[in-house]
Amino acid sequence: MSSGDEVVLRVPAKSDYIALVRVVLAAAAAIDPDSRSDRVEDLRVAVSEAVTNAVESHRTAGTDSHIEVRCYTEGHEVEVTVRDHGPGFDPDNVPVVPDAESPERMFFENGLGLPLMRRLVDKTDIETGDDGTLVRLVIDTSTSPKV
Amino acid sequence: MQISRRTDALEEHMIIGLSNDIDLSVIAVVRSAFHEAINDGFTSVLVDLTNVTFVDSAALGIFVGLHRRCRERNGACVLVNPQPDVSRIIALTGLDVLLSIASDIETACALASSAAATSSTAATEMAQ
Repeated sequence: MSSGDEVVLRVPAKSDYIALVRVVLAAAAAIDPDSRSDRVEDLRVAVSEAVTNAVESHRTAGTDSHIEVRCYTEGHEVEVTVRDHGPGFDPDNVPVVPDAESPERMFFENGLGLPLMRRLVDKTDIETGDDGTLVRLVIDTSTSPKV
Repeated sequence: MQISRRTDALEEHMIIGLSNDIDLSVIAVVRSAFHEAINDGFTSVLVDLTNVTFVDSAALGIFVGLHRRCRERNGACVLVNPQPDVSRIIALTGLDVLLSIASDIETACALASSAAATSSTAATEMAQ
């Protein structure tokens, strides 16, 4: 393993703790003096979405086990993993939200989290199964936003 | 998070002011405030985002829901003065196309009145 820094959080699967994760992860990503504030903000939103999904997944499963968030920084790259112990899901079979121009769009209040994550960070990997889901987000905070 | 409620000078529109981070932890409270405004008979609701520092997709979802409820009543939902980080998330999800956004309350009131008048005219024409 290389010489990066690691921060590990183990938080209750409660929505009140999502803000705590945002604060810690953003602070860890901003330690790099070359990090851009807009990219740290992108990571903050993406991590929040991943943890929100984890909290909701635990709520669905009725489990009170914790959610594990790991942040590994090396150079300008930040890798965050969010692991839950919910029922898992099929990332290739989530409902597709209509385009904003579509008259049907206003009937969809959910389904924006995953697409938003994918737009904000450089790489998103999802491993999911019956024993839970692992979301891995990678971002180079020294580069311009993707979009 | 704090929620403020007031109406415009003509008492036509409900203005709901939100603050700080809007995420899953406060969604139920915000949704309840939106429902209350609609149940009180307001067809147009202005959501003042001036003091909001963060929104996630759950927050955007309830803005979409409020938009739909206002439209169903020939009214309008207008988001007011979102800060740059919040504006960016709204734009990244494409919701800047669906939702009405104004820079200040005065503009938002005018936008809501105009949208309501247009919806009402369209509804009348459809009924004839």
